[in-house]
Amino acid sequence: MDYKIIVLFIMLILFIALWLIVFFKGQNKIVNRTFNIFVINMAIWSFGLAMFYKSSDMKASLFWTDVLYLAGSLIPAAFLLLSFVFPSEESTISHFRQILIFAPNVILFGLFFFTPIIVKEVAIVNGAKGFIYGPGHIIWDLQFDTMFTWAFIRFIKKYRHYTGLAKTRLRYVIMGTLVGVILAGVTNVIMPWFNRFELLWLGPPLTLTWLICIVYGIVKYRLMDINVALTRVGIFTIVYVFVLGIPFFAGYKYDLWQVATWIMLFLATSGPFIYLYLQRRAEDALLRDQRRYQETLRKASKGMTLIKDLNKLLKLIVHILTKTIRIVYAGIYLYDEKKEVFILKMSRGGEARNTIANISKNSPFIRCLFQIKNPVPIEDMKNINNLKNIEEDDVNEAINLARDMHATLAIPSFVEDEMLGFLVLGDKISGHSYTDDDLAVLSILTNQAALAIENAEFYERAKIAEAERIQSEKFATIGRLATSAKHEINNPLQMISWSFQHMSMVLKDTKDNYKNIRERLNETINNTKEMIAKLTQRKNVLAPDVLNSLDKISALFDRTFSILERKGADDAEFVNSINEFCAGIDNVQKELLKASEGLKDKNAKEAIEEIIHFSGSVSKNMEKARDIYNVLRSSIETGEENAKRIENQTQIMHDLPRRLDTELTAIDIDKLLEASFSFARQQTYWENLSDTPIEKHIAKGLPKIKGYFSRLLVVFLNLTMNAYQAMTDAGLKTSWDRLIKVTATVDDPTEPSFVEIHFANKGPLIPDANLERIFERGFTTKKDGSGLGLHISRIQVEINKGTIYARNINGFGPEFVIRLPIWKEGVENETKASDN
Amino acid sequence: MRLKLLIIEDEPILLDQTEAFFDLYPRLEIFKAKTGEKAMEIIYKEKPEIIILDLKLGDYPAMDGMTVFEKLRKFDQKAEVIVMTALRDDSFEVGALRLGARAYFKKPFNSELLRNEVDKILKERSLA
Repeated sequence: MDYKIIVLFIMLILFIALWLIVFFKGQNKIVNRTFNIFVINMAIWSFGLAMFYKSSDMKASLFWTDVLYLAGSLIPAAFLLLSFVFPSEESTISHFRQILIFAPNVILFGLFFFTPIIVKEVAIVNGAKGFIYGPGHIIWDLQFDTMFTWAFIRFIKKYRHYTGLAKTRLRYVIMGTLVGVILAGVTNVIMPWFNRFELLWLGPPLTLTWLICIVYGIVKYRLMDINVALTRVGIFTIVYVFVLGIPFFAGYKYDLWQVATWIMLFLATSGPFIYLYLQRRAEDALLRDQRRYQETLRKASKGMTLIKDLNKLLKLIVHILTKTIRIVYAGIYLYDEKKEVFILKMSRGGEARNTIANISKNSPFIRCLFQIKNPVPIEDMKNINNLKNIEEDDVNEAINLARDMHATLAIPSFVEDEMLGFLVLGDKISGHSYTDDDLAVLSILTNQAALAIENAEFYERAKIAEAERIQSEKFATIGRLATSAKHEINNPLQMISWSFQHMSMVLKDTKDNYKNIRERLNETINNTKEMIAKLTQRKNVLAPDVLNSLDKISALFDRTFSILERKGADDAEFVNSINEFCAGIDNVQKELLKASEGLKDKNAKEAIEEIIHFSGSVSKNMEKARDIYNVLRSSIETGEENAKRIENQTQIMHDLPRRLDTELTAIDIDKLLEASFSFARQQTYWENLSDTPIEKHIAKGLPKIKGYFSRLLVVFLNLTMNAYQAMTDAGLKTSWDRLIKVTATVDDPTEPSFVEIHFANKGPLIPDANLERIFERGFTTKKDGSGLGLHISRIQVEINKGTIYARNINGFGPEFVIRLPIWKEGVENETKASDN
Repeated sequence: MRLKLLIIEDEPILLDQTEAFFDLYPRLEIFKAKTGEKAMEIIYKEKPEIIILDLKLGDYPAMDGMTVFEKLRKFDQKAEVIVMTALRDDSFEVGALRLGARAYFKKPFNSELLRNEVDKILKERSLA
């Protein structure tokens, strides 16, 4: 058999094989169907040519000529159709247009098979089998050239319009087609014009390059560089030239067909292995860099789930991406459920500074990602047609936003149906575009990252929950201990308290003695008065001053002792009356002494001296009693005060829930605050921070709030400790500089729903930019801070259905405003039942 | 007419202190008990008009203050009972008030409250 026929049959087999591959890929896509038309016609063309050469009968040859030329005309028609449906997967051409494209072929069919207008006859022309064309041959040429030209124009226009992956594929198609059209066109269109048919048979083999490019570029969607495709083609061609060429050479040249058959059997078997080996080696060399970082990314994916610290994890991801793939920029956005936005959590990139800190979940960009669900080059967003409820303007807006983010590629990350976040990657430093392999590896990385991030976030939440649980358990344990200790403390407290009270009673009971003293004095004074009265009956004895003074003494005693004897006299009256008595007696004594100088009667003088002596003695004793009383009173007060403190402290601990809070209760704000301050003082005692004045202003009749006691205790304890520390860090060390002010009122006096607590401390203000950030997990300005305190506080407040925010009071310091719902009577049972 | 006052308290010092408050009351004859069993003996024998009762007693849990109270009520509906206790469980307060406690004081409390209460009883009884 003629070698040309053999080659053409081999091409037929290859075309059919290709057709089968595409056929089994699925016929639901118009691109696949169009390509099938291509390949079938290529096969028919090749078959037609083979049969043309095989047929010895001229009539049969002419028939096959018509077949091959018809097939040849269908090829550009199919290519034109392809220009309408590629690279978009949806058909953008109506059936009518499709019919129009192939309509000339119908005419050509008639012209070929029923008239000699295009090909008159088959003949040997210039030593080779060829054709004698009819006058209408130009029709075929026109159809061929017009279709191809139109198709190329369309493809070039698309190439200019499209970006990213689609653009690369179009480049494939255009370049591959050019090569094929040029080569096949020369041998099968141009040379025949000049009646040169020697190379006619080379047409189909010369389109092999074109076909393989098309296969790679379109059917498999393998976004490989064209040089890789050409390398494969080249290797394939070389291998099979040897596999087939050597046996045929042996057969034809030396007529050793048997040997040739054996050689072909051997080479055909080993051919695929040789091809694969050479292909692998060639691609390893070509794709060394790409494979290197893809391997790094795969390894990184596996290791990520071991990292529990979220920040570290995010840093690692962006670092790997920028360093390994060598890209300009990488950023990670994570979804914040509360704010319903995607927040830029981590980024890395030299000159590219992404200023888009957060993106709303309803933005077109997010909506596009949500529907696409896969890695998408930004510019390709325009090419995706199946985005529901997203208008073209929205897509453009999404692309513009992506450009502002310096994003070339966006990779959404899903856990089940929830989009956890997304990665944005900038251009590769090399300028190359992202390949399909890149997208596949990045997709794996992103999905693994999503799991790792979920893991890390869960770990952090678990850490916080565990910290809360431990703290609650601590309080509950203290509460339980306090309950059992309380009883043991209360009895001794009672004893101490009653001891002081008893002393107080004893002191006051001394008042009974005063009665005796007064009675005795009055008796003496009366006797003296009688004596003086008797004396006044005689002449020149009585000085009216003496009687006056005696009356004054008597009155002083009466007044003072009536106070002292009175039950219920308070301490101030008691002490003051003694002071007045002592001062008064002193003066009257002097008066009496002076007044009695004139008395000549010895008995009267002696009696007066006795009164002066007695009253002086009483005065001294009263002073002593007053002093002792003052000391004892002070001790009693101190003792009672300390007993009260012990009682308060144990009561605070006793009031802690004995088990972890499981239901909402009515909470007294004052008690809650006192418990917080008490614990804070205990914790800071040794650091001398406890000496911080606290001004508390609780509105009168403030209703109780509804909440979990131990959780709210954590909140106020945190605030107090933070306030202590902030004041210390600011250098405010003495009790004159430090101050905590707490006020609590209702939101609406007429219809209160919330209690609002303002918790402020003296000290430096919080920068405005940080007023909200201080509640973020991990945010801290302290060197050793965990960044969890205020974050936990906010969580606890919100669990208690309240709110907390921070602001500054100029000239004073930062203030936290906490709103908590009021415990409303009448809905208690409902609340508890619903909680239960 | 002298009234009988029974003090039931397991803490010896508190028992003496309570007694000391009422020592000089001419109208009171004072009895003391540290255990529930002893208290019941005195109750059955002397039928005190006023009882100052601690809830946790020396023979707790066999005979605690509430048990004494319940037994007292079966025996004497009219005795005035003033409860004083270091315990904080609200259920005791509810129980004591249900049994007709005159007053319920939580230790530590001011002794004047106790004396005032006794004074009131004395006044009522003297008017009656």
